[in-house]
Amino acid sequence: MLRIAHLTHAFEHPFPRTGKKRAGLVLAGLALAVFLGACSGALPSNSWPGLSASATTAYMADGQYVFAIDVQNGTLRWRYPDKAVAGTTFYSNPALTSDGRLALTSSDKSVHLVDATSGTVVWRMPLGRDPFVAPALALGESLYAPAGNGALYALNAADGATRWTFSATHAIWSAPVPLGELLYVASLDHNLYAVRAADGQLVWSRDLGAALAGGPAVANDLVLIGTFDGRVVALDAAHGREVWTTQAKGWVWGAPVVVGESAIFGDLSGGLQAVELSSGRTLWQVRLDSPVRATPFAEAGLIYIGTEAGTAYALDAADGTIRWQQSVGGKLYGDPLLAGGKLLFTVLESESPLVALDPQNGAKLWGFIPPK
Amino acid sequence: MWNTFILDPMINALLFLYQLLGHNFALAIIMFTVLIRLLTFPLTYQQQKSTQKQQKLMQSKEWQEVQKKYAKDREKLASEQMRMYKEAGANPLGGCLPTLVQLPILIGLYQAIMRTLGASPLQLIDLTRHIYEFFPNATSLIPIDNHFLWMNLAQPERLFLPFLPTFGIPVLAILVLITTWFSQKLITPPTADPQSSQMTRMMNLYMPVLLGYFALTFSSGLSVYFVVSNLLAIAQYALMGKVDVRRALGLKPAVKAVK
Repeated sequence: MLRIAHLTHAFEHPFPRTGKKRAGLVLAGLALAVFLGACSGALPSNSWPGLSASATTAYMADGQYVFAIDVQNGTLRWRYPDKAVAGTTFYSNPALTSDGRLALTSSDKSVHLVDATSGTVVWRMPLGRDPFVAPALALGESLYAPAGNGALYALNAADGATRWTFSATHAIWSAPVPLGELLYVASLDHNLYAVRAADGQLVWSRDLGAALAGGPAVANDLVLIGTFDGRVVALDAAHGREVWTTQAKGWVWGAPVVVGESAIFGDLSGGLQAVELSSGRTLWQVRLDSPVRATPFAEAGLIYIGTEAGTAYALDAADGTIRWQQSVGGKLYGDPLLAGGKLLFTVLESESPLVALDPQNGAKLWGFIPPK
Repeated sequence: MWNTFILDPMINALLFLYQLLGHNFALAIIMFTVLIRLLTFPLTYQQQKSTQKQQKLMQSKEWQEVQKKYAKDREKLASEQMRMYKEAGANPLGGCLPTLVQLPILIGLYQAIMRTLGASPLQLIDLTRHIYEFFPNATSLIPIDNHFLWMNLAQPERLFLPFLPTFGIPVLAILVLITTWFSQKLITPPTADPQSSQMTRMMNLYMPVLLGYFALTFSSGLSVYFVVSNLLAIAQYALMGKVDVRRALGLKPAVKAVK
């Protein structure tokens, strides 16, 4: 790029003077276009839409807005903020508090608390110097917001004041998961941390040797977590001792979902498998059409999951039999949800970033297209 | 094709250097930039030789006379210029073609840096597709430690001083601006033609501003590349004995313009 002056210089003289300027401008424009194209991947906060829902309303964080959408018909109730703010994007799953508010983490390095009914802001708290990737956890009167700099902030939900801060050594990209008095925090620094929710004191940590981008799951006094090197590890929730490990064929990003005595998870090679919760022994495994990033959703003996190729699946949790599959389009990286009798998927790279399917047969019910 | 021959080798080379250099990604970028500069040295050398021939030709009396003589007949001027290029053995595209060959390498390098940093979920998913399966212990290297001095290499750089906690100074963007301006001024040959001279002046102004803006906006890993690349370009020309610092700083008059 530093040779553009040469480049235009070398070209200019063979042209008549009338074409000289034009040739130079065309070359400079071409070089600039190539340069900009090369740098387009540099934009920060690059993720898929986040989703949470009440029985009546879906909340989708997608780019510069968070949308509240009626789950019955896909119509827009409100969006936050009214006007887009440069440098502020929302991608993580909005966290619903028990008193009807939404905690939103943002690329503007802040946590926003918004009224879930009206979309009006209650408070906004700037925290640290790195954009948030992970959703917050709303628990009682507290919010726990993991940040891109590895900090976990415990905030008063009432006013956003910081109660305590815990620091991992690298970014945290998933919400902490509570069990009893502890919060389980997975970090890209390869560690799973057990932190006391009351004061942020570290109870134990375990280096699992690979990045932990997705969150853990807890069941039967076990903490289950997927790793970048394709393992799912079960740790004793009280002390962090390893109970069992099972190997998948690709990176396990989404959290396992526990159904009865089994844990079910997908991986980036396109595998979906169920293991016995007590031993990690494989119960069944199936190959889907493309990588699985999301955490499966379990309901009434069925597992719902989406794939990178844009296919939504419903499988029998007992044996992995595919009940139905539906091509939605785009990329289904987000965690699916069932709300108000509708199966909701966020869709990356699609005109409709949120679609509702019939959980019985996968028929498409509606697609939400954000207003311009 | 692009991924197989350009992007994947670069990403894996960056990861290898990162592993080799004690998990310091800034050092990996610097070392990689040096290696790329060494690999493309024959091309840049050829480019400079071609530019020098053109420069010599354009400073000749005959060239300036032709400019005056055919100032109002552009077609004739162009054909005369072509004849003189031919006679002098200078290829007007000689400086351009090596640059075009280098462009894919430079673009690949920008993309490789961004992907390897894996600063966002989508970038990290994308990174998994580019790592060679036979790369030993690759998974243990992820995520890349993106900290270097006060910088987060995945974010635009700002320096916050204790007495100025609310205003971040964009040190790297300033360095990019200065080194780009200086290298442009050093490397760009003087020209007698007023229109060319104006174009050169514009490029010497726009390029530093453009790259400075990129440094201000994009990840500082890229800015590290810009600064190192500029310094290496200056060093390369200095080693070849072609640097005219006095002219670059405006202490020596440029070539007299043709009226």
